[in-house]
Amino acid sequence: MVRSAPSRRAAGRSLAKLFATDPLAAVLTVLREAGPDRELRAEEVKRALVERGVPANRLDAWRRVQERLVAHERVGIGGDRYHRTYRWLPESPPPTPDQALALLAEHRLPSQRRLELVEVLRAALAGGADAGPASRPSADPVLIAQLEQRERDAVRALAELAIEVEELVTNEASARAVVHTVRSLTKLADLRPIERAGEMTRFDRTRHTSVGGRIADGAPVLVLRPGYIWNRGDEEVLIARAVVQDRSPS
Amino acid sequence: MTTALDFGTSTTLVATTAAGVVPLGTLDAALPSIIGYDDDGTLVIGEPAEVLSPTQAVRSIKRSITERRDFVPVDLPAGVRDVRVDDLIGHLLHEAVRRAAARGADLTAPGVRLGCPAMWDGPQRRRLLDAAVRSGLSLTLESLVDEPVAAGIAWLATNARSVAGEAAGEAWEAEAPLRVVVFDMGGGTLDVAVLDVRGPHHREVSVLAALGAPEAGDALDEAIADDLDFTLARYGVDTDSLPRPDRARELLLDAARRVKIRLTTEEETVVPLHRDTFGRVEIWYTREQLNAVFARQMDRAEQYVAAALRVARLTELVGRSARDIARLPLETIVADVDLVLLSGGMSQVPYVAERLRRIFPERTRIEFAAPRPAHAVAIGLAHTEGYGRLNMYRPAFDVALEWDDGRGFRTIYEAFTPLVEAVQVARGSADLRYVRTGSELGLPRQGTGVLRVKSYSDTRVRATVDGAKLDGYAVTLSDSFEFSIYPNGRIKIVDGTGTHEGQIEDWHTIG
Repeated sequence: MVRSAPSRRAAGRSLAKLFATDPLAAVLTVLREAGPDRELRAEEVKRALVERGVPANRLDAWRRVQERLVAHERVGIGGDRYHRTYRWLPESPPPTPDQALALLAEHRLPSQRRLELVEVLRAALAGGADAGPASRPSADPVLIAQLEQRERDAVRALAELAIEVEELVTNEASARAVVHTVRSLTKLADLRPIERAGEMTRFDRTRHTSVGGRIADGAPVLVLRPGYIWNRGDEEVLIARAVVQDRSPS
Repeated sequence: MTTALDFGTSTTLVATTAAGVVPLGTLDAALPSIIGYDDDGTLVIGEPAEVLSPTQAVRSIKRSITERRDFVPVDLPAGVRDVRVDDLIGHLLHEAVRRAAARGADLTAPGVRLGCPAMWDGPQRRRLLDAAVRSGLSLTLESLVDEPVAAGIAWLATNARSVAGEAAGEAWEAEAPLRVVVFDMGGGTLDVAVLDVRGPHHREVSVLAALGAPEAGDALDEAIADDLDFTLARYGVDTDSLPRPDRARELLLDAARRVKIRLTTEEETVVPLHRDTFGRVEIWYTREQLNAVFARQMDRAEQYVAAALRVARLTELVGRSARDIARLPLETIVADVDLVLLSGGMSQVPYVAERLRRIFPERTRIEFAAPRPAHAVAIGLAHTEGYGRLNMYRPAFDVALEWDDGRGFRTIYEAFTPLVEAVQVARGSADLRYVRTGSELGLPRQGTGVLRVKSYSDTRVRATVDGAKLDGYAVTLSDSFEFSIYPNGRIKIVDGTGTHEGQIEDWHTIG
């Protein structure tokens, strides 16, 4: 890319500013601008940064950036131990619905990536539905089998909880044993409890809901029923707030 | 796209490169590897066989190949009869083919991969292969992939990006292989393999050693049940004096299995005890107690790991004798391990990683081979396309000798025969090699012959003797004929003209 001197200086200032707040983003900018055909060594990246206004004494951030670069999906690593090179990778084609499903089924992915993959699946399903029966591609039997399996897994988890509780109650297990077992089974489904029934706590509208009237934040409350949060990968989904009752002194 | 079949001791899984695991079971993704005959003598496979009586059903049929059993007793309407193991395996695999087809995965198409234990030799592999082919799978010996190799590839498939930069920290070299130990503890067997993994650039996995032991999850269940029995005694419950001690034992084993699973995520759990059998007693069992009863089994498992690492060292044998390797201290033989991969359901017991952590250096990463360890082999098999695979411990090629223009023929090394046995290493034997003499093979004592090499893997064999190719190498037959392969790839031939040295060239020198 050919730049006029002033715009280059302006770009340099903004890159230096970017490096000060987000060194990885600045390095990615250098790689992106070099293009997918050019592999840069660490010293070349650093030189480019200095040329664009990054103070040389700030380059000690490189080590942390380097660790994140190797895991970045748009950065290709080459060279050898002593002369590692970095290259901006061209954007890969979006995954097919089959690939998207496999990624979702087998890996824990960041929520943004999951949303992208879900969009791929949704588009594939909607495309099939919108096109009408005549032109609709036949449903992928593997996909259907996997979705059915997920449904079975969910229902079975519920059944296993019911089985354990009934067995414990029949054998006159203690309340501690029942609650412990329930919590350990819900943990297997990546559910995290909010509070414990019978405990006193302070009202927090993000985690609690009142059984009756309005409760002021921070007011003492009795937990009637616990709530649950679902840890879905790196995302937290509030399944149910804990149900509480106001116990402020009247 | 590759379709893969993981015929496991307890369960059978199918996976494809694109879609991952294809659900086969009526409840689980896996098809239970159980087969038997119902009261009418009808063949029953998978979940329906789970309800058969123990004498009507065969569990862990795969183990019969490991134990080289041809028949198993099964209770049929006409009485207990010996049934051919290979027929039962064929029926089971056919059911997997049928169910996979119903869910859109074609196991009859070319290119399917089938896993097998790395410790199996040629005849054992051929048994599985023949049964699979009779079931409709389109396979050759090249289609069989060692299970630990698959586990390693499963990890690479998930971690391909991080391998390039992080697997060995700053010590990573793009050209250098990672030394990987696969610790696969399943329901009935423990398999330990040592691999060299080159990826993502070179995409090559070499098996340096593979050992197996018929001891895993079920042994721990028994140990926990024994411990629960002792604990009950402290509460005044003597199970031997109960009206039906056998039924009490069944309940304790059931409780043991559940406690074991619960303690993979909890520090303590209540033991589910049947009140009418054991009375109103509530026992809590901790992970510490579980670890204590598991300790002896893990002691033995560690010995297998050490033995496998010593066998792996034989592939380098640079400036050291086998006896030196047998005497190397544990901290030395674990020092170059970059990664320990946990595979199999039992590996989820936290104590497994905890114990392995103690023997490996801090820099060694200990990770699950796949997000779901029980799926690791199936996932890895489905991703084997493009990977070179080399079994240096049990090379995947035959070496044969022809004479009299092909009228005389002997296999002098049969593919997948171990070059050395672990016990030889443990005893510090000085002469560790695979060796066959002319008299053992019944060869003529004079004349000439030609060596032939037949490979059963995707990786071509490049071996030379005196600078000439091993395949087609002419030998002069004599009383002293001797053919040897050493674990480091060295070949030695003694014939009527003297001693000739050679090397299997693909076996990179390590160390």
